[in-house]
Formats: sequence, C-alpha cells, structure tokens
Amino acid sequence: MRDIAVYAVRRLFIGMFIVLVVSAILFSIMHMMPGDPIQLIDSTRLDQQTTEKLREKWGLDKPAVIQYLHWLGNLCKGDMGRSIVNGQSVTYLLAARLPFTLQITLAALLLQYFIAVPLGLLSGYYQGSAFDKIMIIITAVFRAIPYFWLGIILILFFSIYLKLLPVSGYRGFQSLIMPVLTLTLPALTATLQLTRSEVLEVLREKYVTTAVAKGLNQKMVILRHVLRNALIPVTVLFFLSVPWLIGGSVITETIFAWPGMGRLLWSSISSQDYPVVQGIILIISILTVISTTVGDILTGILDPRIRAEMEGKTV
Amino acid sequence: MKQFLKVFRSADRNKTFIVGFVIILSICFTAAFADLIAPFAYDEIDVVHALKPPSIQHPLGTDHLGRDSFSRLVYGSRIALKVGVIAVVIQILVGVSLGLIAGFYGGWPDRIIIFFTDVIWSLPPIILAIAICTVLGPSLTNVIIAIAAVSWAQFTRIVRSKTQSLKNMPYAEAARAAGESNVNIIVLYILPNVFPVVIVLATLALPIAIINTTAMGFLGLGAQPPTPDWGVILANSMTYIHNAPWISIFPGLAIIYIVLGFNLLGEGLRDVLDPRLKI
Repeated sequence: MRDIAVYAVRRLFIGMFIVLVVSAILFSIMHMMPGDPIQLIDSTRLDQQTTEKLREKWGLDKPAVIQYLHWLGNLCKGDMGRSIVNGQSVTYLLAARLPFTLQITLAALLLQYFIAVPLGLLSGYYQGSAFDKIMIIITAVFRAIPYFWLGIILILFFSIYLKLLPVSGYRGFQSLIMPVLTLTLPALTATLQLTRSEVLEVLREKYVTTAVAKGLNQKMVILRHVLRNALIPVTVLFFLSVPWLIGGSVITETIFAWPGMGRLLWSSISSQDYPVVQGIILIISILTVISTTVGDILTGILDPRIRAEMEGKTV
Repeated sequence: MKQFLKVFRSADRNKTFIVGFVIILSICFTAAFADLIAPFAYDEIDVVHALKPPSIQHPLGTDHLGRDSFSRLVYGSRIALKVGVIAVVIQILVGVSLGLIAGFYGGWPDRIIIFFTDVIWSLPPIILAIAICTVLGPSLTNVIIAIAAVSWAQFTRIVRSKTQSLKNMPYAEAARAAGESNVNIIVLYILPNVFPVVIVLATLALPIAIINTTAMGFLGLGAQPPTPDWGVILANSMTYIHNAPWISIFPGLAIIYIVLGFNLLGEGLRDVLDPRLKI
C-alpha cells in the first residue's frame, strides 16, 4: 500500500508539471492571436494615448515571458487576474460559475453510472437474449448521436411540443433536466458497453465456475464475484469520462444558456478575454489531470494484479 | 491485401461489418453523385418559399432562405467525408510515426513523445480544438488541423506498445542479425504488423472526427455559410426551432447515419483483424 502512495504522489507531481506546461503553451497561443483585447473593447473611441495607457495598465506592453511569470506569481496568491472585458476578478468569476458546471457534470456522471451499470450487467448476463439484442442496437444508435443535436431534440420535444420544461437559463431543478440528459445519454453507452463486455469476460473466469460448482447461489455469485470484478474498469472509466463531460459542457451550456464555466469559456474566447480563458483552462486541466490520476490509482487499489505491477515499477 | 480478403471472406458471418459497409458505401455514393441526386444547388436561394415544411418538391422542407434542405444535406455528405478522411490521415501520419519511434528506440525519444501525449490528454479534446481554431481563425481547413492535432495521441500510444513487443519478435531479431538498418526493420517488419490495428483505430477515429467537425461548425468555428456543413445547418436551425423544426431534425439524422456506419464498420473490422483489441 505504501508503494501505491509513492506512485500516487509521483503521478500527481507529474500531473501538476503538465498543467504548468499546458498553461504556458496556452499563454503563448493567446499571445499569438491576432489583435489585442483593447482594440476589441472600443477601438473607435480610444485615442492613441489612452490605448497605450490601458496596455500599460494591463501589462500588455511587457514581453510574454514576463507576463506569464507575473501571472504565475499572482496565481500562488490565489489571484488569477481581472477580466479585460468587465474588470471583475477571474477568481471571483470562476467561483461563481464553477458550481453550475460541476452540478450538471456530476449529475450526468451519476445518472450515467446508475443507468448503465445495471443495464450492462443484465445485458451481459443474459447474453444473446432479446433484451441483450435490443440493448446492443440502442447503444450503437445512441453512441452515434451528436450531443448538441440531442439537446436541440430535447428542446423541441419537452419545451416546444410538450411545453413542460424551460428552454434555457437557470430556473431551479427543472432547468437541470435537459442539460444533464444531453450530457449523459451519448456518454452512457460507453459505460454500458464496457460493463457488458467486462461481465462477459468475468463470467468466463475459472473462479466464477468454481463458485458455481461449489453450489453458491446465483445471486451471491453475481454480486460477490462477477459484479465486483467487472466494476473495476467501469469505475476507472467513471473518472476517465470527467474530461469528456467537461468538454461536452461547453456546447451543452451554450445550447441551454446554462450559467456555467463552459459558456463563460465560449464567450471569453470570442471576446479575447485572455485572463478569463487562461483561468478556465487552468481549472479544466487540473480537473482532468486529477480525475485521470484518481482513475489510475483506483485501478491499482481495486485490482491486486495491477497493484503488483505498479509496485514493481516504483520500487 | 491478404487481410482485406480475409475480412470479406469472413464477412458473411460478420453482420456488423456488412451493415456498416453498406451504410458507408451509400454515403460515398451520395457524395460522389451529389450533383445528380440533389434536386437543387446547395446555395440556390428562393426567399418566397422560405421555411416551408416537407413537400413533394422539397422532401425535407426549406430553410430561412428558401434553400432546399435535402440538397444541402446531400452536398454536406461531401464535407463530412472529406474532413473525416483528411483529419484521420494526418492523425495516422503523425501518430503512427511517433508511436514507431517511441516504441522502437525507447529511452529519451520515448519519454519526450509520451510527455507530449500526456500534455494533449490533459485537456478535453474539444476544448483544445476550440482553442486552436480560435487562434487559426474559423475555416474548414483549420478545423481539420485542429481535430488532427488533438487526436493523434491514441495512435501513438497503441502503436508504441505494439512496437515494443514486435521489435523483440524472432523475425525482427533475425533482420537485425542480418544487418538490416533500423529504418528498414521498422518499415519492412514492424509497420506491416502494426497496420491492422491502425486500420481499426482509423475507422473508429473517423466518426469522432466527423462529430467534432460538426460540433465546431455548430459553434461557428468551422465552415462558414453558405457551406452546407451539417453542424452549420444545425446552428442556423436553432433560430427557427419554433416555426421550422424540420431544419433541426434531419441534419442530426444524417450525422447519426454516417457515424453509425463507421462505428459498425470499425467494430466489424476489429472482430476480424484483431479480436483482442479493446478500445
């Protein structure tokens, strides 16, 4: 177990280094972008002198490397700069928006897990049955659905045809339903397929045959042996799918005018609001690195075979 | 070539492959003969008949400029195929060569390449693609570049691990003993054995590239109107969703059709070429 801890710390360390590299790359990309935000605000009303003054105020006149180091220094103090468009603190903006994104992402993850795992288990256990065949067709079709289109169809059906749910914005629990469905349904199929194929694989294992031969009752075998082992890769997928859901949230939040980080990212990119974009990407890459690392480490803890492999590597 | 014959010979048992193959064939046919199939040009404006529901003259209705939705979808298949194929070919060229180098040479080239794949994977692909497209400016070519740039890493990872095991195979050792150069060993002995995996991966990467392209078009970062890109059509349709829902529905069905086709084809190919490969 100690070796796993060493492995985890090392992974997180590498992960944070990667986050830094990503932020540096992004910083240089943002600086290669044509035009600068000052021109974009109102180029017609500003004379040369005021523009220069503003550039100086925002530090845009200094070389990119200095600007980056400056940004890093402030970051350590919890200050991510100020939005160029409206002057608000980026830390404050993100703190206000992040919960909304986490809300739909987490809800989508849980929904995905609780729908897909039982269905996948049944589908794998009754392999070849009518239920299994229907599931295979449904997953194949759902996997092909682009989620932004699903969002439009949900709006058409629930808001325009049935007039049940609000089209967009945030008005309590009701508004949560369509964005969460849009994020979940296409992603759900991967979990379902994985659960099914893992269950099939585990069912073929010798220890399952042994358990059945020993005369254990069927429910026990399924719960104790099959499900437990089949869930290892599924749990890992749970964490690995976080980046996909966050990526999907940009479009989903844009469709439903959801007040989260994804839509903020989209609007800040179009207004070239560097500090906000930089802050959001930082948060997203940290979330991504943490979730993939947790996924990896969990595999090690849950699966003794892989644990041995990890320990072999770190010792 | 032998492997392709094998695919077709065992195809009668492989329904997934056949269905996928037929779907893709029908799309290629549509794209090739778009001029004959489409009753109108994709940019033929007819404002008098704007936002008309499906009828005999316009089987899928018309959009806000009176353009025939069906014709636009037919021409759109060209864009989807073109973008998907070019993006995946770039991914293969970059991803496979890096994977071969990393797997064959090991050491610091391996570490550097793996570090780059880690960097690519530390952000959700679509977000990275959005960032790249914003810098390069919105156009179809830039979307292709962005999508290739965010998805080559999976080829690298899988080709790398394959190469690591292949380079110790007896035939590779024999070639080395016979004095073959490293490049020759890679090209003549390792590449052909990596090829089946790459084909399967490529077939499964195509639909993802197509969905991402339409997503970029949907966000306004991809093709620009009047290009009949399916994502662009969908983005426009949002404005008229209350009075002309048919404009929103059909492009999505077209995307599902093509993505489903490639997914089935890829899974069918995987079952034949490399049953142990799980993606």
